[in-house]
Amino acid sequence: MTADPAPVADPLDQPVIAAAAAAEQTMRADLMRLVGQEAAVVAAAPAGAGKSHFVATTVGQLRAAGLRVALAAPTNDQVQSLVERVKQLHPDLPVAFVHAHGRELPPDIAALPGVTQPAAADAQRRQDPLVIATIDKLADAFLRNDLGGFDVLVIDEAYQADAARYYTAAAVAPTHLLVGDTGQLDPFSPLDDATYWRGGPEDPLQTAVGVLLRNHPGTPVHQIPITWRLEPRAVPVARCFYPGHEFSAAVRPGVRELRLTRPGPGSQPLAPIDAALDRAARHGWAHVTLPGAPVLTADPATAVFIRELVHRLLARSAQVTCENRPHLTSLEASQIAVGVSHNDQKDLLRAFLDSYGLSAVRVDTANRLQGLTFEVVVAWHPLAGATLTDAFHLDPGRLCVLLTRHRQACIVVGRDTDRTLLEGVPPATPGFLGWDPDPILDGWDAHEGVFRLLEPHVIQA
Amino acid sequence: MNTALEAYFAARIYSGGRALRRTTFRHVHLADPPLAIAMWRLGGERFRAAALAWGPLDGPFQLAVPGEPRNRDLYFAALEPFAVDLCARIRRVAASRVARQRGSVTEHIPADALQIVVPNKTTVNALGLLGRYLAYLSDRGGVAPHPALIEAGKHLRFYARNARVPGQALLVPLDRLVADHWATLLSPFEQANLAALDAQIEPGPGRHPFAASAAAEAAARIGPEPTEDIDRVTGSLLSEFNAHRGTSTDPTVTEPLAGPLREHYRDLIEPVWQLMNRVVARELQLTAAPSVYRRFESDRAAFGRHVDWVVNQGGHYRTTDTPRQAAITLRRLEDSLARYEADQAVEDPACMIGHLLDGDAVRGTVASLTETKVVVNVRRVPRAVIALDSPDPVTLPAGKELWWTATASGEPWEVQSLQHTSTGSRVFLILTARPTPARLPAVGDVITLSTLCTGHSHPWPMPPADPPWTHRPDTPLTEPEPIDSGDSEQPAAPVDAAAAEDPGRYT
Repeated sequence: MTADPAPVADPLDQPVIAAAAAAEQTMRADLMRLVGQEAAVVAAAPAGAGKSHFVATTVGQLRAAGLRVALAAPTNDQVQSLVERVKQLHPDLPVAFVHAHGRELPPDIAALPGVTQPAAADAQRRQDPLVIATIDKLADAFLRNDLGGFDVLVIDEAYQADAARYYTAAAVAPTHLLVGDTGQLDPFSPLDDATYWRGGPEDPLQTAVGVLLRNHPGTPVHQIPITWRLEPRAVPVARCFYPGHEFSAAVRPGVRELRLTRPGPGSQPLAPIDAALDRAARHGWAHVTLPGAPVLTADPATAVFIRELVHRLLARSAQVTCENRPHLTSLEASQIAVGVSHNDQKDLLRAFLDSYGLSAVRVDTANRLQGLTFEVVVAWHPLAGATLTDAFHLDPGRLCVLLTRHRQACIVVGRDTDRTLLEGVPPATPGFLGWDPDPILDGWDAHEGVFRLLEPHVIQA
Repeated sequence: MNTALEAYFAARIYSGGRALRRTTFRHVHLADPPLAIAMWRLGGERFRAAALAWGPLDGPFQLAVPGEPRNRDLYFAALEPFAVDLCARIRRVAASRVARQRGSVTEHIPADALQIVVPNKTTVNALGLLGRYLAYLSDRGGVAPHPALIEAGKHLRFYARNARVPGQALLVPLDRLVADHWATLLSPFEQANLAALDAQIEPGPGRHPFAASAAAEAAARIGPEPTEDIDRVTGSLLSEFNAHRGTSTDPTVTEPLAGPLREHYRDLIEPVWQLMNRVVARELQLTAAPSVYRRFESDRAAFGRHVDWVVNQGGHYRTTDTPRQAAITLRRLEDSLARYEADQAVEDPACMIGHLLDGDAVRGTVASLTETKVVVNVRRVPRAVIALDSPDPVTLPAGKELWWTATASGEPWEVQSLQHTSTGSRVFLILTARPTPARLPAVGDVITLSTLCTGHSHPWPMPPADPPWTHRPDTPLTEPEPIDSGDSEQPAAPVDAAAAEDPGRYT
């Protein structure tokens, strides 16, 4: 039997938590002050800041004040988890989930007391006091069924929502609360010339927060100074993606632990994998580099290595402990995720992991992993084996998502030559009048910072 | 773009010694002949054409060279024949209409539309800027520009904006046409050079495409941006022209003086004209895909609406979109892109390969076809289930909707389950509609199903006409000054860098 770690007096950093609570209180006070006016409050959060909890708490407070609330997010997964979170915090609060055809709530969430799934017209006729929907559905219901007349519109993941969608949904309520993670992926379009409008006030692909602040620069913007998901060892890397945003971990150092059994005899062929796992368990990070080579996007060698890594992690009887579970518990396959950049990488890994009976391990692209939390994450580095850098692979949002989903440890898998792509002078990038951010140079900078911080954790495979 | 497929192409081209077709059909309408335009600008002068050649591609081109394009009078005088000719061609083509029935609505759309081809995407942007400049000219100083210039500006602006629509054929940049239809060894940056692309396809006897395209790239002079050596020659000829004409804009004085500049540009444009001719002739040999006609019908409808607005109603276009227009345009363009990609893959097996490799499609043999009953809205309804044997390791999740390429505009099939076999995968799919003979493959058929649907996308409601407060600025924007303001001002005197004082700003 493995001994549990010695208990830490207080696993949480109370001053950090108090500062976050004060910031959240200020935001709610600002919002309540603005109710009834055409005005908004923006809450910018780092990864794992407890946005959903903040949103659900705020919604409860708005309802307690008798206000009619529309709560929206860009994707179906996000709104479904918002329904769940609201019901967790406010079991008695009636929730009307308005959805598109075929997008009903999963049965376990739909069965929660007080949860209904009305048609948009019924929700409006009954004046349901709290309606939750995707931004698209809310906009569609507003235009077709006059679903509106809310007091407050709350948008979660507002940095993922684009200005075009926000345009159509914005009129459902005069007062808005926009909550989002500034480090995640920006709104995206598959068009070749998606930057056509960039810099102009009409740009439909600027974020919802971007268009709001452009037109109303006096809108109060608050930063949430805490991350609940990430532990102190993960915070320096995460900060690469949030320049100008100070935040700290809620949990104290040493509280979380990933424990592995020792490699047994005959495990010499797995030495690099074991070395990576041991480093990740001890330091929270490992950066495995395969021999440098230009490879296909869905490189079989990298996929095989990741499969062996995940398999070995579970084979070494991984156990975890944290502030919520002071006793060591087995790491389940469902608590592990593999993050990738491309769908063909995902498909290849899915087939490889399934062949090892690891179907419970989540494999997904960064886009789909946004907002999710796992104990251990294996990140297929976006630049792994690339011969050139480009805007897609340098996107700081993509790397940010991949490196900020974990609570215990993150193992980055790439190739020896990845870092050399960033040597020398950064590429010339297009400039746009009226638009200051430069995602390529920002990405270049963030990637360099991450490589530098991961340098002590490099394991050559 | 699937990297495995790109790597395969690269290896085959490297060993085979010439570019390979990506497609088995031509997916863009090509007129025979189209109107071609080639253009040159002065270095650093983005809104002005220093030379503009135009004409049906199967004949000689006409050339407009203003001499000094920064002089308004000379510039307008030189562009006038082009503007008049372009307007006449557009009006002539748009005059003949045919009825199109859509539901209960009958529209009269042009029977044809004027197609323009240009050597590259940069020329599309240059024509857009030229159109933007001409379309909003004022009668500043009491001299109104020729109305054809303003109308031509509106036409060019329309063509350049419409060029954003995926699969459109009103304004075709030939570099893009070739790159979309041919796999080459060139990087995306190198593909912007039409001569290099052409050399990959026809490298010449005994020449490797790499060497051929490198040589073509070095030798080719394709506008609109001048290289430094061209700009140097142009600058010298321009100085000479200005020195001899003094301040005169009298055609009897300037026309003869502009001769050397005209010859300079004629020499540059001749080979580009031949190159465009060769490229279009080669692509015309390929059969057009079935959906090309439908897409060009959409182009004709857009062309007709434009002519009705600009010519018949004297309308203007906004210089910039409103947030609502931009939101609608974005959505329309994304819908067009999805439809264009679906059309290409469904009609052209070569275009489906990338989707198969990406896991968006599955190809296999129908092993069984059975009928079953399922409950839909409390009624038991008949459904068909097929087992599809694929030699590939399929990873499609249960519930995924796929369209059989033979009925891609119809009802989808849904993945029920997946079995991995020693020879690949067996996928069970259920048809989501009543089984009819037209919707069902036969046992033993080799079929392809993909996520690509060529049916009409769900109609989406238009955003409200009044922008919400979030999209209205706190303070109204100031009116911009006319686009040609400053044209009559004397240019600043040249500065002798050697005599200029060091401002010390950077020390």
